[in-house]
Order: sequence, then structure tokens, then C-alpha cells
Amino acid sequence: MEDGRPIFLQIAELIENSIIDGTLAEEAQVPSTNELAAFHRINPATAGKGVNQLVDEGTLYKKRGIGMFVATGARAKLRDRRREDFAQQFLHPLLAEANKLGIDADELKRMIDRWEQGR
Amino acid sequence: MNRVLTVTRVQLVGWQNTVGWPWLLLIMIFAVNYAVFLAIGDIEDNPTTGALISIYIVVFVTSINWITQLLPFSMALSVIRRTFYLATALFLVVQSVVFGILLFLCQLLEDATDGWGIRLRFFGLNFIDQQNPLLQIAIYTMPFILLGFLGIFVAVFYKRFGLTGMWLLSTGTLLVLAGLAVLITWLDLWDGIGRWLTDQPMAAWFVGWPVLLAALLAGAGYLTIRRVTP
Amino acid sequence: MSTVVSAQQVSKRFRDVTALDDVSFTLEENRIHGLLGRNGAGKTTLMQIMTGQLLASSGRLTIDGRSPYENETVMSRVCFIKESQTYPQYFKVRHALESARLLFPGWDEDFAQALLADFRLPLNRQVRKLSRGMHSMLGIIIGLASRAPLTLFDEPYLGLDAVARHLFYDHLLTDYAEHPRTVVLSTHLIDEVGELLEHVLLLDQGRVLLDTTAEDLRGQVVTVAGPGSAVDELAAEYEELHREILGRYARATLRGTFGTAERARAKALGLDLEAVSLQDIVVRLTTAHARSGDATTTGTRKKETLR
Repeated sequence: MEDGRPIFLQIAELIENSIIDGTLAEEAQVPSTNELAAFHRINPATAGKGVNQLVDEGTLYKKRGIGMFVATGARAKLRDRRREDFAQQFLHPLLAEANKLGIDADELKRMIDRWEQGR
Repeated sequence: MNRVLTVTRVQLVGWQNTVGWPWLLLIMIFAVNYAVFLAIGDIEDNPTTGALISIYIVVFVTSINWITQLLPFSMALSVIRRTFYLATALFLVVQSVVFGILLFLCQLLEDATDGWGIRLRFFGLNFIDQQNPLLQIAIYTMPFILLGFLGIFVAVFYKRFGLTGMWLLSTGTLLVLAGLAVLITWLDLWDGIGRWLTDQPMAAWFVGWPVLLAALLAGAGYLTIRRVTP
Repeated sequence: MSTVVSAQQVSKRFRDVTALDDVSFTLEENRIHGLLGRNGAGKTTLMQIMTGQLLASSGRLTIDGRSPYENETVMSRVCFIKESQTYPQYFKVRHALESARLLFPGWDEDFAQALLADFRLPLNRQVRKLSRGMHSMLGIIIGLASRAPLTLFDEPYLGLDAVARHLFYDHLLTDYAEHPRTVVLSTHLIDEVGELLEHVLLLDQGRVLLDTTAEDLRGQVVTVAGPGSAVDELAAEYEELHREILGRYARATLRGTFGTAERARAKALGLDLEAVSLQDIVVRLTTAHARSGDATTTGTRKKETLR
């Protein structure tokens, strides 16, 4: 675990990423808190906090005595949320940097088109 | 009480090095004695070799090691001082009785074989022939108990009060003894004490007084260990 | 959650040294607590008082509500592994393990055997002939297999290589997850154990400098870097622990609340936010404390237990 943000948030995000990219299908069982803790070498309570946040948000649900599962519809919901965050997280810094270098919006668009064609 | 018995079991861990070692040493010394006396040939007057004292010295050293080595280790495994002390005292008394009986049996064997075939007196003590067996066992046992509690007390005292404490204790003891001697001389009591001492029965000499002294040492050790740091 | 260890104004004075100075804290049940601090901060003394090996000079320390000193009931639930542990001269590795098996009610022999195999510790070697690292492994095996409800490790891995240390962390984590218990871990290697800890108690010169959850601490301390004037502006609102300057560029370690709004503000000022590792936090706090301590020795010494 790196990065300045609390570890439990990073754990939650890791699980979200797996759901978005399809590694964890809907209704699939999620690794247990202890497995997560052992894998990432973190305190089980911290891992539990990350998982619980996802439960509170409705991304995961608990089956008593069995474990934690991905809720139906979780993938679409997460994607919508990430799309909303996209502008803030990626466009904002992009535009700020472009502004610093004197690149205007039109030039930026052209750069993106060229990048797409070049691939 | 359960915990006390458990701790005595811990004292038996690696017993070859604690309980076994004195006997191994005694057997080796016996072998040397036997070889020497065999080489000398006929022995007159049935002298006691005196080498038996070695086992008492080894047990004395072992009792010091209980405090210097086994106590810190036991406390590291969450044994409290009181329990350790009771377990050690129990262990010492039982071991002393067992050793006493074993020495007594060796003496019987020595008598039966007429000194191992060469009239060697290794286990037998001249002054306790013709006594009842229980008293004989007690005479073998008591020095173990007395030396054991002395070793425990000295080691505990050292651990509690350090070198300075030891120095004060030994100097103090010497001063008190010297003072007593001066007092006795001054009051001209030596004859009376001498007579009183020779009048003491054998049982008092070898059992009664040692038991009293051992009990005093055991009590002092118990009080001192309560504030010992491992 | 209930309290296992409670210390109220505990002090310990040796002849001319004050090892612990008015220390108060509580340790909650079934958590992994980190006892951190520099050499001589008082960590070992505190653990010795917690395990009844020493008596406090003043104050009161309890385990499960009772003093641990000469208390069999309390002590039968405690295991204390210290780095400098001595064993009887004649002891072999198996003797040490046999003693531990007899004395710890929760001892798990299968687990001990598995650990022994993992650490490749020779059963029949004399303890005094073990290398430094192997000596540490023996302590670790006893500490883990004892499954004592309160297990304390004091610098448990001197001489252990990285492989063996990570074996220890892995076993500690998995076994703790399956058999929750209260663990107190005192260590220098803060970066390695930082993420294992749930609660941090930082001692400095016998005082509690920090008593908080590891998670809170992580969000509380941040390094900001950028133009000096911008750093100045932001730093004015926080407790500044440390600053480095390179020309007009500055980097400061700040303490306070850093939520989304505060982070956005720093970004708007053109500052970069960097994470601070637990190790760095501890270093910054203890050095900041030492500086302020020096400054106040002539005047009245201010009470500065940071919370």
C-alpha cells in the first residue's frame, strides 16, 4: 500500500477496480477480511473498515456465516460514479497543466485526436 | 497449587543436566577412588574417602543456578516469583529425600560387599553406623536441604541487593559471629556451651538444628524474592 | 471493545534516571498495538511493569482491572517476549519449547511445530550456541504459539533477515486473524510494521508523545512541497513539524486535518501533497519534541502530550 490516503480507502478502491474490470463478477464472493489483510500485510481491522464501507454503499452485501458478495448492479453503479469523478480527477489537472503551458482547449482537442489516430 | 506442580515439571526439563549431573560426577569420582584404592592394595582402618562431599557441593551450585538461570527464564514465561519459589522449595526437598535414600542404599550395598570387595568406604560414614535406617537417611538428606536453601537464599539476596548487599551481608554476619565469640569469652561460657553441644543427641545434631536453620533460610529467601527483578 | 491494559500516571524512577514520567494510556482488547520510540524512551521498562517484572514507583497499571505484580490469574494470560531473553545454560531449543508448552494454557503444539519448520530452527541445538537471528526466532515461536490473550513482543527480531521478518509478520497476521488477541509490538522497524498496527503509542523520554489509531495518524500528517510563499500560507494554519528549504522551493511536514477540502486548497496554491510514512511521522514528532523540550528547559516546562 502506498499513497497518502488512508489504507482502508485504498482497499475499498482495489475491490471496486476488480468489480469494474470484471475480475469480480456480480454475485461473486469477495475475499474475506482476513485474506485481504494477509495478502496486503495490513491489519485485519483496517481491511474490515474498507470492506464495510463498500457494504454501507451497497456495493457488497453480507451473507451471514458465509461471506461477502458483490451486489447485483454494483458494476454499473460504480462505473457511473467513476465517470462523474473522471472530470474532477483527470480533466481538471489536465486543463490546469495545459493552461500553464499556454495550450488552449482547441489545441488540446486536436492533440487528443492526433493521439487517437496515432495509436 | 496446580501451577506450583507445573513449575516443578519445568525444573525437570533437561533433567540430565540438573538431577543427573551430580550422580554422573559422583560415579566418576567413585571410579577414580576405586581405581586408586585398588592400586594401593590392602586398606587398613577402613578410612572414609571423603569424596562423597562432591555431590553436596554440586547440589549447592545447582541451587544457585536455579535462581540465577531458571528464575529469569521462568518469569519470562509468566511464572510469578511466589510460585517459582514454592516450586523450587518443593523440588529441593523431594530431590534431597530421593538423593538421601539413594546414598543410604549405596551405603547398604557397600556394607554388603565389604567395601566393594576392597574394603573401600566411599558412601559409609563412620559416625553413623549402628543407627536406625530412618535417621541414617535423614543424615544423608539434611545437608542437601540445608545447602540447597543456603544457595537459594544467597543467590536471591545477590539478585535483590547486588554486590553491595552481599558485602554488607557477609561482613555483618562475620561481625555478629565475632561479637558473639567475644561475648562468650567475656562471660566465660565456652565450657558450658561445649558441654551443652556434646550433650545434644545425634538426631538434634543432624536433623533438628539443620531443619531449623534451613527453615530460617527458606523463610528469608521467600521474603527476599518478592521484590526481585529477573 | 473492552480495555485490557490501563495505566494511570505511571512513573518509574531508577536511582538517577526517570525511565517513565507520568504515563497514562489504555490498550483495547484484541488489537495490535505498536509501542514506538527511540532507544531509552522507556518502552522496555513499560513492558516490564506491564508483566509484573518491575514495580512502578508511582501510579497504577492494571491488566483486566488488576495489578499484574505477583498475580497468577493475570500472568497466566500474558506472554512477554524480549530480545535479550536468557535461557538456562544447559537448555536446548526443545527444552525451551517444552517449558513453554507446560506453562502456557493456550499453547498450540502443532502451530509451534509448523513455525519451527518454517524458521528452520534446529531442535537439538543448545540455545546459547544459536546465532542472534535464531535466538530471536525461538522467542517469536514461543510468543506466537503461546496464544496468550495479551502477547508482548519487545524488539523481537534483532538479527533476523528480511525473509524471516516477513515470515513473522505473515504468521502474526494470519494467526491473529484466526485467534484474535491483544498484541503489543515494540520496534524500531516502524516502516515494516506500520500497516500491521491498529493503535500507536509513542514514547519519548519516558512520556507519552502520541496515543492514537494508526489510521488517524496517517491522515493527520502530510508533507507539502512547492513555492516557499505558498508553503508559508498553508503552514500558518497547521502545526509545523519540520521544514526544508531549497532556494525558493520549500517542503514542510504539517500536522492537522487534511480532508478533501484542505487537499483541494493545497492543490490550488500550487502545492504537492506527499504521504508521510509512519516512520517519518515518528521521527518528525520526536525531533520536534526534542527541540521544543530544549527550548523550554530554562523556562517552565510545558505539558505537551499531543493527542
